[in-house]
Amino acid sequence: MRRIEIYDKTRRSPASSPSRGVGRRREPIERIADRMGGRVLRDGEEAVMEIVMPVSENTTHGTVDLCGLDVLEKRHLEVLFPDVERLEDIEPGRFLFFDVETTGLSQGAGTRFFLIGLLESMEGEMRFVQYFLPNLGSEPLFLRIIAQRFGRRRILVSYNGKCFDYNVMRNRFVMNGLEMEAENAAPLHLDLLYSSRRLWKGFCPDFTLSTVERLVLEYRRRRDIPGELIPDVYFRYLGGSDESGELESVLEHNRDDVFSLFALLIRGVRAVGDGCEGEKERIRGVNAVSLADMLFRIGRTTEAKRVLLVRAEEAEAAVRLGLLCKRERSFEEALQHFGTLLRGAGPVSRYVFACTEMAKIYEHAVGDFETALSYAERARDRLRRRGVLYPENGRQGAGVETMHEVERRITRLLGKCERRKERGV
Amino acid sequence: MELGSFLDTLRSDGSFSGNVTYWGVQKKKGAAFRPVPAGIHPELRAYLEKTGITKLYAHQAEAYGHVNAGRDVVLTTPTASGKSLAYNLPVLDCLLKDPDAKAVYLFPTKALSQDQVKSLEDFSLPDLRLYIYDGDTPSSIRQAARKSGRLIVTNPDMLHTGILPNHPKWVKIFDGLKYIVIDELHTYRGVFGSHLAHVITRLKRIAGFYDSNPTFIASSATIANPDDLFYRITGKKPLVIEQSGAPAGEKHYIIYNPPLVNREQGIRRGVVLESVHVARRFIENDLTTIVFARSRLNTEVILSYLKQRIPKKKNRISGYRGGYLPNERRDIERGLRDGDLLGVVSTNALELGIDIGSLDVSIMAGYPGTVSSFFQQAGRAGRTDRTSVSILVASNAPLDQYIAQHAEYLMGHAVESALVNPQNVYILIDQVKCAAFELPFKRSETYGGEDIGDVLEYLDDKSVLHEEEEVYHWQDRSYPAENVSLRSADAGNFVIIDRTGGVRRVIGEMDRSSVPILLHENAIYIHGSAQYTVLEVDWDKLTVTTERSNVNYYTDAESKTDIKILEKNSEEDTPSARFMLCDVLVRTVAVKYKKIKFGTHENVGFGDINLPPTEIHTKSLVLSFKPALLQGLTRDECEELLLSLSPILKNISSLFVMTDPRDIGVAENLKEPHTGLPTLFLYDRYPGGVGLSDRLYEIKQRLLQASLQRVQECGCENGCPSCVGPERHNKKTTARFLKDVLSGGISLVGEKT
Ligand SMILES: [Zn+2]
Repeated sequence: MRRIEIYDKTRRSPASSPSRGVGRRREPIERIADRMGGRVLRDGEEAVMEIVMPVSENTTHGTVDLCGLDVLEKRHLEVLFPDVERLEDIEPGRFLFFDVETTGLSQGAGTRFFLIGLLESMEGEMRFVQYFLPNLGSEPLFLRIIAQRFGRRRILVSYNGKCFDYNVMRNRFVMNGLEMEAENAAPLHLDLLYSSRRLWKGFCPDFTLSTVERLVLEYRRRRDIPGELIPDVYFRYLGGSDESGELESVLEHNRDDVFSLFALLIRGVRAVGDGCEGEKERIRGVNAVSLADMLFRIGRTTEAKRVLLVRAEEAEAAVRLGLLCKRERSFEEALQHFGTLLRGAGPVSRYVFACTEMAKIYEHAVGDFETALSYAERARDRLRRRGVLYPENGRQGAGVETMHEVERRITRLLGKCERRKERGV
Repeated sequence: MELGSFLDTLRSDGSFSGNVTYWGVQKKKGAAFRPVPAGIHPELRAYLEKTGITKLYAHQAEAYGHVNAGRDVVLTTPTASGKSLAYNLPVLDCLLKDPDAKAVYLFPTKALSQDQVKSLEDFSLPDLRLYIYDGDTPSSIRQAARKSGRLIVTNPDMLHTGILPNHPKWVKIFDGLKYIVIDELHTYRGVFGSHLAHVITRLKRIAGFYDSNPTFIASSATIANPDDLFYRITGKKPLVIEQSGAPAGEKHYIIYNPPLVNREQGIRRGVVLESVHVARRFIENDLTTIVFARSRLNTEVILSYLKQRIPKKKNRISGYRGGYLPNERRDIERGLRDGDLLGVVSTNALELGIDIGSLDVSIMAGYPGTVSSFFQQAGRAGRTDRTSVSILVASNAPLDQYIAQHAEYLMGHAVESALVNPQNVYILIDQVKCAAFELPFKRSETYGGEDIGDVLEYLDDKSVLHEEEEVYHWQDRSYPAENVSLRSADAGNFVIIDRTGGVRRVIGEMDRSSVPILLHENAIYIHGSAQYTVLEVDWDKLTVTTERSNVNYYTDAESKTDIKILEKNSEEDTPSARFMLCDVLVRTVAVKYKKIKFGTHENVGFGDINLPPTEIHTKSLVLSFKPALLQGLTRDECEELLLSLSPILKNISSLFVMTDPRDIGVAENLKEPHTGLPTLFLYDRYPGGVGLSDRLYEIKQRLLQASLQRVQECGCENGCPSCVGPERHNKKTTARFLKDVLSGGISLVGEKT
């Protein structure tokens, strides 16, 4: 066809990826299933490969023992995932750990998933299952089989699945005219990405699953295929030129992903568990301030405070402790914590914040205007030294007063001191 | 002073009327009313009553009736005739009556979307679930729009990259999609329009997947081919509603051609000063006036002159252009509405949409390029109950000079055609990729009514698609829409970067083939009426680095263009010439550039260009002239003649096909190998063509006629930049030649108007 010749001649090839061996016959799925210890499920023309793998009692993944799901307690889970509160029971059989492999990184209609790994507890035994899509025409069967696993009573566990995996899956269901879930009855979905970001803040440079599993679980993959190469492996397989077990390494990658997210949940639950080891032990290897915030979030204030007290010398903990004590009207203690913030180097805004808080307590709770005044003046001096007198954009952070506000406070306090003197108190 | 009597004064003032080449008066026109349709939803009726609308204009009622009956409609009534209400009524009526119905509105710019949403919100219909969906929409709102939106206001780019590729997330919109409204249809021409045709095809494909078959409603400025453009973009034959029922006050249209200062060279007084001169008379008499300048720079110059010359009222005159801050703009808009401001000088930023109320006088300092822009700018002056006037002050440019002599071009039957070419193979292939990403193609499936089996096979060959059981599936990990820009050429585009002030900022794109000519090193690049100097061209990274500059010249690259005819599509032979529509290969190598001073067109310097040649495949109108016509001319004279003809033809062509002259390439060949004759090529500059050449072939006779008129009517003696070009003195030869070509018996068969 002429228009194509014109296009081809005047244009670089639109496909940047290497040839995928078009025209060759792909390996029959039965043979692959045999080799991998799986089986082929069929419905008419459609086929799906299933691989089942029981997980034995004492499997370890990095430093984590993959115990059964009966160790999961609601009061631990809800620290990580506040949504858990609305669950009536967290019977182990309800959990479904999942991860999919896709043909692209976007979530558009053209991205499909061709492999899913599922880990679940069946009659007390952990069992890992993978479903693989051997040709595009078999997608309806692939989806029907998967749909059976995603019932509404499920508690889904994933890593970034809320934003990615689940969306890609739902797109494919929509495009095949199938229902993944009943309307408004989406199952509870626990996404470990968000809790990992909090718990291990400062411990990981980024929060891709591979970084977190390496640094938190100390897990090293036996061999791994980089995620971005996976689509091409599948395309090569479809084109009949899968070479030297590339597909196997994708399946293995997927299994590692699912086991890692299982191990991460166990590790996370342990971190938030309040066993008899004491607070110091409890916060080893996690970000204590984040943990406290997570406890605050669900109203477990006493525990949060205990966690913070271990780190009371650290600024972020001291801010929280100060505010908490102030709210509880333990002003003495609040002054101590805010006082911590005045020692050592730190941003001006934090220093001003602490001074102001202390001035407020002295003024309103203690009734010592002179001391209050001295703290307000300290705030002013610090702001002056920094050279920014009247920042145009108003506040510099929540609770941080501007020069203007600090000066107003000083004027007021001066007035109060004056009047008190006049009355001869 | 009252405008009517002031115009009488001007008429009798020779210093003004002596330069007027056209003065037309459109009589005051009463409204044609129709009752509000009986079946309209009570909430809409209540809204209309509340806003004092007890009757509809005829065209609004007509649109309601047709849309209600399921017909696709395009409205071409004038600016400010209540077009929005004409499409809003039937759409909102349906959304109110049918809780499952959804609608999508497309506007070419975000500002227009904002404006429309404001007016839709005035209906205060709580169940409307109206959402703007564009690049500025926060993600929480995006989610709500997808989940519960019923009326989505967006733009073609967002539809293309955001909505269509994610259609499974938009099930609720596609399911029950009843209406697509395309506002400002005439702006979708050339590359943008050709892409939009595909975006709409993709939209229809997806709607079909969800069992929806939406009705299309468009509004357009007056163009020669609204029905054809609508059909090419939507694939549907529309009903055209062009008669406005809206009332209008008396309106004067004046074309003012500044006096010649140098008859021999054909130089007229400058458009900027003359516009100031004209505007001043009105502002001094307390008549509210808007002046449209052709560039940001001119805006500032005109503004400062006006302030200088009317010192008493200088605080009541303001500028208005793209660079102003939003709240400054709001203030100016308010000032104009409330009458605090008497004069405003604007770029075309004010042309579309934005409400400034209506003024007494609109002055255009130079022809705005298209008839529809002319009327949009003219429409800024005009009230239903009072007289208004629009004045076009012509510049020295050939287009302006043509218009100055040919008011019928503006005021007569619409002659501009908005052209698109969805079949452009580059656009087609990019768009088929996007479509395949959205839904797999069945082998037998047609796309936009066309068989695209060859494209599918090609993409399968390249492993972009994967064929299985007669179905082509997307097989690439990319997100194709991301790499396809609707507004400009193709993925092989150069990105233009401004590094002024140490910050690198993308300011535009340019297709590869234009880079050597327009963006060679040291070229002056004008963008958004700002000026940039090109510092570096990177052929590997496809970037052009520029810096803001402020020089008094522009650059004009001299390039050698070599055109090879690949295939003849149509041909017409006359005793004087051969006319062909051909597929051609254009090979261009830029050798040097000239620095041309603004205004005087003086040559003020040279420079070399060291860039590799570029090749594009495109379509061309080919004009080959028979030897009889050229008898008695030396070889040099022949060459000179061809060089004179090409700028005229290029400029005149751009008028008829509603495009920037830069979108049309010209080349000359004294002995074209295919015909052996002296030949002129007028070709589509965009690879593959966007339909310009096809149209030029259809209207070749009118082109030649208009070119002849331009030369004959030019005020100069022997030739000037407004006709045959600078430094040429063959005006008479050129005119005679064109006459000969025209009288050479060119057949009128196949002519379309
Ligand atoms: Zn002239």
